[in-house]
Amino acid sequence: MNYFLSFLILAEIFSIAALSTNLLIGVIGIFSVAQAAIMGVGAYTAALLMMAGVPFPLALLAAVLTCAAINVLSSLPSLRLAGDYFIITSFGTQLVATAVFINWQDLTGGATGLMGIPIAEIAGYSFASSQQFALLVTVILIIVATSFWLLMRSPHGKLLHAIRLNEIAAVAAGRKVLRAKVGVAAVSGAYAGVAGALYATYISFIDPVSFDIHVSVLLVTMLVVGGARTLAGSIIGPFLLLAIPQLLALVDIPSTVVGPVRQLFYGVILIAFMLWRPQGIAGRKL
Amino acid sequence: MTYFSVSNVTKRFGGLVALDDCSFAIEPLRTSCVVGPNGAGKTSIFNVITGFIKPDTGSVVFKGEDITLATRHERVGRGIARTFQNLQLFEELTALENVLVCLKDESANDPLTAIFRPFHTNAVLRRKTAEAAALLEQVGLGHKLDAAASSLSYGQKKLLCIARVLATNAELVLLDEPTSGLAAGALDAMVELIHKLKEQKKTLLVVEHNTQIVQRIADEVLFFHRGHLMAQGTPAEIVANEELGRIYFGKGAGK
Repeated sequence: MNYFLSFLILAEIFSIAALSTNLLIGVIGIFSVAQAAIMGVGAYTAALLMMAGVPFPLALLAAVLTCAAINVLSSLPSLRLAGDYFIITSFGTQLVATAVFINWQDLTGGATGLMGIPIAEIAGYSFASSQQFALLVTVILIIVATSFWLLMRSPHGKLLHAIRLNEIAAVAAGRKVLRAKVGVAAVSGAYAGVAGALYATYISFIDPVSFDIHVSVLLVTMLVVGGARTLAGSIIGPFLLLAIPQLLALVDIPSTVVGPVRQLFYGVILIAFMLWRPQGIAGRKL
Repeated sequence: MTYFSVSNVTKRFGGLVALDDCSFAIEPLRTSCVVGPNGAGKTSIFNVITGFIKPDTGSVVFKGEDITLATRHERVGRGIARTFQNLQLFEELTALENVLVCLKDESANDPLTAIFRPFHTNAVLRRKTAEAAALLEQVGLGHKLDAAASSLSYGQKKLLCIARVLATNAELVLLDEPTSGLAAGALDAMVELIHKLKEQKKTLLVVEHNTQIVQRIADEVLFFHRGHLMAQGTPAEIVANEELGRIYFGKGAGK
């Protein structure tokens, strides 16, 4: 049971991170491969505050606000750089973030990371057991997913799609494209902050590897497999891809090759979807 | 006070002079056609007026205010909007969504309102949907509300461009070759629509190649050649000018 709950919790946390990635890549067309770094900022922020005795709700709020601000800053180059160029920039952002996580040892604990992050507690109620934490994450995922759905069906959501499709036409119609991009980057960052804070308090240990480029690429893969631009795609992708390590555990292969085999699976799946179903399982045509 | 004027505007792209010391003024509620051979600077002057390119020298004044350095969305906010020769639609969105995102109404157009005031946002969405549908009805696309823009015929796409520019509630409307590539039936529908816009008290500036269309819609004509405004006058005056005829149609034309 705990095994399943652990999978459920992680898949839900990554669903929130995938919604963050979806807003940027799928909806407004800012192709960022740095969302794990943003999630990491949220995780470190929440972890450090909770370890200093700050209650979980406040630490979560701080992670949300910090990540919103950082995501806006890291997305700013996309206002001047088109498509492929921004991917390189965001790749750089990811590498810089990992370097900071590793080298700012006094704050982040360096490569060994932070251990003993307290478990989430709201108004005296502790989410110590897997069942309790699963309930917390499910409720938060429902809130985040509802906000995503509300945003997408609003006039503003249609504008975000329009900007991705044709920025010149959006500008010619008098839309404030800069404001829209900053707004969506802030919301996307906030989602990543939520995911990071939940991850830190659930695992109770974070290190730079938890939020490195592999995780960013995994988030993009989740989006490609699940389907960009849709709410369902952001949830299907993480559940499917996080099931792969669980399934590999059932197969009798040496532990030393489990990691590479998992990466191989992700790579093959990514290529297969790009070839045969680029819109993903639930996604609309790309 | 002059309604709209362009004064001494010059724009160079390297060695190419796209606009050469252009000056003209436009009276409100009139339709002015911009004509001239290819490369005359017609689209360039549109780009300067709408802020898509900044002029090297000169100024653009609208209703007494210098808008030369205004941002593109500020110009739309002041009442100047355009269509494009190459359409620039949101191809994957429906016709209705294409118009909806161009509506001047900015209410509920931010993420926080969308997320935290869903009922208000829903009411705004309903209102905007009705407005967008009415505009599409007006241009003759009332039966294509939910069709993807990419699925429309070329003529319908051109009508959709007009609906979008109307959604901005602009008073000075710039149409870049609205009739080019249209078959006879669609062409008449477009001319009729342009007359309707005139009735709605829009001031129109239209890039147009077809001299017959020019004579059907224009109150005055601005004749451009090599980035320079050669003449401004009524269609009859421009047609009667043999030198302009030679430039436009080639040697010996008009004789």
